[in-house]
Amino acid sequence: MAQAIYAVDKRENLRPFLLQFGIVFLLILTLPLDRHYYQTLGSIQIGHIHFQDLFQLANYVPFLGHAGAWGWESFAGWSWALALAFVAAAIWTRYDKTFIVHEDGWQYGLRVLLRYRLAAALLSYGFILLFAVQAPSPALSDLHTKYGYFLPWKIYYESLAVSSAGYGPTLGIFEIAGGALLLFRRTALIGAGIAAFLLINIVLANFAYQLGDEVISVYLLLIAIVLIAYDGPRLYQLLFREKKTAAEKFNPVFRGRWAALRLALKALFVLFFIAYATLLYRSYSVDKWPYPETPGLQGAAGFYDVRHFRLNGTDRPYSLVDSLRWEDVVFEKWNTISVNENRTTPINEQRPAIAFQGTGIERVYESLGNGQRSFYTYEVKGDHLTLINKNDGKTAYEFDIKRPGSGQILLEGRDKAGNMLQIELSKVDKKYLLYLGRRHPVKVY
Amino acid sequence: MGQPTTSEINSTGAFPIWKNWEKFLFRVVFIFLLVLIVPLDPAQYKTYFHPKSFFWFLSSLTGYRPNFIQLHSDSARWGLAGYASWGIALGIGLLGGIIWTFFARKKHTANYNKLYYWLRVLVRYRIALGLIAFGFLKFYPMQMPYPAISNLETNWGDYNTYKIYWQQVGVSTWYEVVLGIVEIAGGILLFFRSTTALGALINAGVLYNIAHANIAYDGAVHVYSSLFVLFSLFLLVPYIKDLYTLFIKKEDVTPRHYYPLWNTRRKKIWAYSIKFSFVFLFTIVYGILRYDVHYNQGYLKDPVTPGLPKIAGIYNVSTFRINGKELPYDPFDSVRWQNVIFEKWSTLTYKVYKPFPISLANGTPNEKDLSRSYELAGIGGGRRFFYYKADTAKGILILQDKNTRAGWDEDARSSDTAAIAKAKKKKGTGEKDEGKLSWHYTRPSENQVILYGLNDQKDSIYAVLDKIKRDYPISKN
Repeated sequence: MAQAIYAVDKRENLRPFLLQFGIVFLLILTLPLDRHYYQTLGSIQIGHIHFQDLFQLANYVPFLGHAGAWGWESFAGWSWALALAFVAAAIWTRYDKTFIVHEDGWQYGLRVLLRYRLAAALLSYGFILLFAVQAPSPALSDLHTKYGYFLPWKIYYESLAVSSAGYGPTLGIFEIAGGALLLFRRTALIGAGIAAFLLINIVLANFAYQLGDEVISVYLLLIAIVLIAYDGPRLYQLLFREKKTAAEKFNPVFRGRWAALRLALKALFVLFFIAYATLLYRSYSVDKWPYPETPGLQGAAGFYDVRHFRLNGTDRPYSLVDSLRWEDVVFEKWNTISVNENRTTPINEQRPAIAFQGTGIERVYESLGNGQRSFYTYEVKGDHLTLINKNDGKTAYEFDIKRPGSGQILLEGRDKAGNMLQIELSKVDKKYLLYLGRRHPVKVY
Repeated sequence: MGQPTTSEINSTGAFPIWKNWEKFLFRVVFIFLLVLIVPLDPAQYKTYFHPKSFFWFLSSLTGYRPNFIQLHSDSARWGLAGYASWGIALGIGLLGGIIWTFFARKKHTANYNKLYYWLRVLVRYRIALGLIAFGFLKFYPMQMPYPAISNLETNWGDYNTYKIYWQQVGVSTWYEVVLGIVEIAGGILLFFRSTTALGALINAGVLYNIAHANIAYDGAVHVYSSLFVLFSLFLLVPYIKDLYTLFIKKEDVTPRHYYPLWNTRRKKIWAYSIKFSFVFLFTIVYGILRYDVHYNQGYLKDPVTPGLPKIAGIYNVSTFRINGKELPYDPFDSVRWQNVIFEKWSTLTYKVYKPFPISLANGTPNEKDLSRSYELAGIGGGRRFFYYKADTAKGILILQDKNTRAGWDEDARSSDTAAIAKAKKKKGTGEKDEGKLSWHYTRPSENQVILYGLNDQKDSIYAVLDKIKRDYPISKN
């Protein structure tokens, strides 16, 4: 007898327990519990607010704490969340006997939180795709990097960057539309469906190309699935069984102060993203982000052949294997020089987070994931050029610069070891298949 | 339990009478879709009745592309003009719809539920077959092979966009396999009524992405992939109203779809045996045959004959003599080789500073190594590709130029049909005439190769090649 009663109790308790477990687990992942997040928050300067600040504010990554972990390892924090949720749900089940009465309210509250969390992510990522800030057009240095010398994530980004016909921006528009639809209870299912569709591909790509957003993309996909699952039985009944289907009956009512608060929060959310989109547009159009914003040497931008290279007075001829000689040089439109140095460069394996707080040398996107070229920021003082390595921030070369004719640059100076260098650069009128070969047969070097 | 409901929804009286405009619209759509699905071109039927093998018979059923008009512009191949055939099909649909309406004006047909149902069946199976065939190309990851060494050594700016798009997928083999599984699964879902909505939704999304990407990267398969988007959207139409009522208006819904009734044992047996033979043929049998075609018969994009043992890699040309005259390394010399690459398979390439016409083929899978041209498609950078046969006893390489002959755009979808015809003609007669090169090779050490012989200009060439060690970041994990 006692056994049987216990069995009944257990079954009755299982459903609320699972719900409570799910609610606590998702809350732990969603509420910013990492002190990292608040450090970032504290570092925002209101006077110099940048879209990246708002991006980070809107995109708390659950349990980022485990820095340096790749792939599945970076999910280590989630097992703690599972354990914690289990314990919390057990206590909750034991002491809250009225949960069944408030169940709908709890579920609704959770869904609202998740809807807005997912919407925030879709809107913030959507706008950076729309304005082609996430994967900006390739820099000239990229065009002179061999395919095999990119890390896979950079291949993925650069591939997206060279698409035409509004492909990237359209993906952004889908994300924005999904985010907007999630803001309303009646259209939330469509929004979550669009989100799930996009996120499945984003999750796969993150693992396939090690894009570095594994944790947040899996987390967002989880939210989308939870939101769809709420309507799951209705979808199953209507589309698979093709039988009479009852609509959702729960209808939250807001009155008085609550209604005002609800409206205010909603408006705040929308205003936040209007501000975000505005700042982002400014970054895109004025600031050149994520490339450096300081203009380069007047009229120097281009691809240069290293015509002559003298090291400590000795001429070093063209070579494919001479690790002391430079092979070619790119002057970007901004103050970056990249050199093909004929030796393996230490590769910056950082991933392209929307979190470069700085300006100038701190804008390292161009050099990330590129294992062939060495990237230098330069400062010009009169005829003097100082090259600072973008990877370690140290001065690498000091040159006096002369520009005798158009397309000709003479550099004379020393590297950091004190070797004397005399370098003659001459501009090459290079044609790119990437741009020439669109939609018609072509003959090109 | 199921029986009474089936007969209930099957009784035509329970279904509303269609309005005149609904009937007209249906007639137009019916003919429009039929024209896009059923081949009108007699040449297409030849491929059905004279297949090379059972696989090619099945394959020909999966891939019909309606093409009513031969346009030769660049836009026809890569851009919007490619959709001209849809316009023509719609024109035929409109005209047919008007004629049909005229002849049906005295008949009082209540609705076209039955015809609509069978049209949906046709569309479902058309999508399923097409997508499963698409999917297996990626499931056995041969549509987008991993980049060859020569491709890893090509600058980003010397790539054509469509090659960038294809190769990006090829970089991650398991990602390609998963994409293949998604396409196959999306196809299989359409074999069954209850999973049609889900399948159509997935396929509309996936194929929209493929179509847009093909326009964005000049992949030239945009029209064909858009066809599946069109078909999938057509399948979704009957669900829209119910979904809207249930989820947006939040009202209860009773779905009503017409299904034919298999009320006798005989009908049931017929219906299910036809259905399941289709499913069986185009999943399991097709999958096995497709495997055989690629991996046993070797319809592949990259060559398979192994190159010389342990030779694969990139080589610095340390010494280069032409007619006895030594030329130093110079990245702006049109004759002097800059570097030489031996692939794992029997391909040798060298780089010179010279413009070459760029192959725009997608790299159709081919039976012969010589014609497997994916490695040279869509890249520039002055690289010559040679297929070689090695006589290891005599130390001789017999080389054949791949740039000029190998499948120069064998793609039937090419706009430049005249060039293809010329290339084919050349291929037909040139098999023996075209000069094969014969070079001596020696390998003094593991990392050195010496090549000498006459080039295609009958100049004598002598080159000392030293292997450069490479550790590509792209393969770093």
